[in-house]
Amino acid sequence: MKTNNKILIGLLLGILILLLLPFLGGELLSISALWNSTGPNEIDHRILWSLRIPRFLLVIAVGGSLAILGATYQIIFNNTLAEPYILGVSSAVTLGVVTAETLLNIPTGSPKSLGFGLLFAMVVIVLLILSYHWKTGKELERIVLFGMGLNFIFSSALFLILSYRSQSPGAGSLRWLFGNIPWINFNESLIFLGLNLFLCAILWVSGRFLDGLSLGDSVARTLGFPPSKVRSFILFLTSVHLTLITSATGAIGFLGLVVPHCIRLALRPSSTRLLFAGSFIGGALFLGLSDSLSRMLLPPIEFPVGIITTLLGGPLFLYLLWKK
Amino acid sequence: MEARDICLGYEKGRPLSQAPISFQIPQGAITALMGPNGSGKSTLINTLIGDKSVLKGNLYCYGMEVKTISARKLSTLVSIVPQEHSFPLELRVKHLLELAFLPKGGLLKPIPSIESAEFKPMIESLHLTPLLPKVLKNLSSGERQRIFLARALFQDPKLLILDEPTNHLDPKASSDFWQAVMTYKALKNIDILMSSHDLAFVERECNWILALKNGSLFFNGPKQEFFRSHFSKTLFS
Repeated sequence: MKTNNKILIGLLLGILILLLLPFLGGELLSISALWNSTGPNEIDHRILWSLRIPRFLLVIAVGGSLAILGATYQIIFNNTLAEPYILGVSSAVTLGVVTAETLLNIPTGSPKSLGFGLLFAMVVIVLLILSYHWKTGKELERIVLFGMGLNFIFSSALFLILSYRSQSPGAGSLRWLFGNIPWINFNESLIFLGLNLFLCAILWVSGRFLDGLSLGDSVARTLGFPPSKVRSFILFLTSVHLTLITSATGAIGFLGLVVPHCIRLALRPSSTRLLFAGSFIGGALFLGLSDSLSRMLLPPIEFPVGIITTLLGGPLFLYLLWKK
Repeated sequence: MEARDICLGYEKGRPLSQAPISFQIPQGAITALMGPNGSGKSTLINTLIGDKSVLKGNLYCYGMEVKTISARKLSTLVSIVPQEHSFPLELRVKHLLELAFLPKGGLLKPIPSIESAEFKPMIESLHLTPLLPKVLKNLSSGERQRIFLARALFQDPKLLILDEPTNHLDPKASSDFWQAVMTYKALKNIDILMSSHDLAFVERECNWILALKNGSLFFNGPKQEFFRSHFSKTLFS
């Protein structure tokens, strides 16, 4: 009972801080700007509704999803160091989007650009699932190593394109390397959040499969969850999810690795579903704070949020290792 | 369990042995699955739970051919205590035990709490009450083994598979473990299939021997016959 209370208080506190985030940024906005659309608050009101809140919804979607994806990878690969970017899906997406932008002038964030990202990601997804179902046994290590290999190849190709780009004038390329939150409008942010919540919900329902898998393949099988089918399904789902996120923000480092570990240590969740719920809130909070910080540090400079998450997450991770 | 002319193996076209094997195990037996390393014990277990398929022939479990048993159905027939355990490091004992109810819960129904009254007698007979709130990672390997046994038993199986269960245990933990198995066996008369290298232990506790060597059948029959014959001496030589 006591631990339940603690969890509840932590949860409420987290949500409260989350709700304050839209008011933080390059300048602080008063809460009354939320409903006060006339007088001295008019500009604040516009900033809030057309810039800050859409960005806030995007941040929640991305942060929460990345943390859930990290937790998922840690379970299906039975590896505490797994994180959403190990398999090369997101570097393929980034490569697709950046290639389209550089060579074909397709603006990032447009549906066409997303299509390119998806196309590249599909190649990786198919290769990964094929590598898993290779003729001799279904070895986890092979799929992880295979994914890492793909990751290196796509990352290098990405560097190639980016260094070509830096020779010619054009949009900044740094954001693709570190992950960056774009400014989008209210409707876009709602659609994006909706899609992410939908994918998270499917993962949440599949949490029971992952509970089974976390006890090892033979136990999972006798619990009625055939491990290779579950893994292939989860792999496909998470890859699509990751494609959606990466095409919007690039690769935001460390969040997917650190947040699930913090939640495990803090909550000792009894099930994967609880781990997911905690991770979603924790990830949203972590990315939200990092994003606010990236804009508040030296306004009007906006640092790529991935740099902040790594700078915050790195020490946190080392601290956790130290404590263990 | 019955096998008709089966070939075991990890890869298609590469059976462990060319000669197909057949055997039959009576119901209610405590069967020891024996044989040197690499003789096909794990492969047989993996085949039985549907992780590998038989390369040739038919393997039956309670009258059903193993490859036709659905994942769902399998969860009501067989449970396993594997040799190597994997579990979320932060998990508490009671939550691990509740995972035994996953098949009953499916994807949407709630999972019963292990602390509810109906499970209390069983928890007490397995001496698990003081362990329930503890974190799994912090327990001794003997306690952990007993908990994984309990998880398998709460699944309410007909056949319990134990993969070298007392391998890493000291004599006391080993006898505690076996006592828990026997307590449950007396209650529900389940079938037990246990792989083991420990001849003395097998002679004392089991009543049926299935021995494999180089992927083929070496011996299948009552324990007395096995230990009276030359088989018990030549199995590991």
